[in-house]
Amino acid sequence: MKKATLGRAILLLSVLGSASAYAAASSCVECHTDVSTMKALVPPPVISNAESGEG
Amino acid sequence: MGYVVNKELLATDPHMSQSCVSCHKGNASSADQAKAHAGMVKRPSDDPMVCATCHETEAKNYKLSLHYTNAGMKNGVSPRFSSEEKHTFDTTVFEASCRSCHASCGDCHVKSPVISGVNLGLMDGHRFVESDESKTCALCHGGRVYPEFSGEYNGTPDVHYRKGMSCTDCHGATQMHGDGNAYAGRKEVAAKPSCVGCHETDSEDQSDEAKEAHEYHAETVSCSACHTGGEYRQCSSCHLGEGATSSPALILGDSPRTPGQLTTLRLIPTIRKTFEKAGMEQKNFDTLPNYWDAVPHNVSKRTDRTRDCSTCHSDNLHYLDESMLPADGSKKNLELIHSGH
Repeated sequence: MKKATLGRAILLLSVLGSASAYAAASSCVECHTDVSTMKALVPPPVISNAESGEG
Repeated sequence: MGYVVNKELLATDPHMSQSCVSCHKGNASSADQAKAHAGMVKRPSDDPMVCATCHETEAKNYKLSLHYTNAGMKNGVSPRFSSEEKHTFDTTVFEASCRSCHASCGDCHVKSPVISGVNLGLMDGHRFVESDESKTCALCHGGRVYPEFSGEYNGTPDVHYRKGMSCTDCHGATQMHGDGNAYAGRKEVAAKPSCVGCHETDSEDQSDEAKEAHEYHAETVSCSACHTGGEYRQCSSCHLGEGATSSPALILGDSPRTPGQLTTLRLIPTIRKTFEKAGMEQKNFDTLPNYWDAVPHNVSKRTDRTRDCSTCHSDNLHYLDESMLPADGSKKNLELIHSGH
């Protein structure tokens, strides 16, 4: 019984662990690969004359 | 859109085999925008050593290259300063102004550099591209060189552009990445391009007149003096934080850096009051002239100077004279007026 509980706990932890690793890997990707999300998040640039192209 | 990462690259580009946070930092475990971006590094290759794991030689060399150090800018103006002013310039103005333009690895290979507040974003969905001059070189060098090259400025594109060449066909990887030497300016760079690196001055396909002209002028006239296609941009009256004004002109004069050579000159935007806001009056302003020898990027095989000797030798066109010198300019300017034609 104890062995079975321990086994389930290890299985649960490993599933949770891989899920959180997946979340860690994909949370950036979720927004940054989605056009509509990025359009909503990134404002149009403010154009200034302060730093003009040189060279 | 320039901010959207191409999802396919995640599986195909070796650079993407690492997680986003391994380069950009931040907190990938948070779905909250502010928390996810806390501590994020926008330009990770601002420190080229980030790329050194795989590209060690390029990263080490690049840290010494002029695109990264901006040493050419610093050394180009420093002689105008007293020792006290030079200290102020090195410790405050240079880092905040000139050096802020340095290019990271990613500025050329991933994302366009931000110019005048305009950010084009990723070049190709975060693909690591070998080169894309219209989204990289053209932005930082979009004031003078690239518009001349493409013909956007003053109409006639450079002959190399017309033949389909790009910036990197002449300015190769060794010049761009550096060769491990910390040069003081671009004139010193061993890998800089040279016209005669590709063009023989006495090749069989040249007319006898061209061969004779090349032989006659070889030691005393630069290639650009005859093969600059037309007027190019002259920037002047630069004030710290305010920019400069520009006008077109083709100017021939004695090279300030190659004694005895007639060449094309370009106005240096720096004037006596350029650094006034920073409390620097450039006590040694007259150490340098208001012009540098320059290679305008609107090269043409045939020009008014290649067609007819009289353009230079009797009509005296394009030569710098006293009436053209900027008001309150450097006393050194007089030394650039050519008297030998």
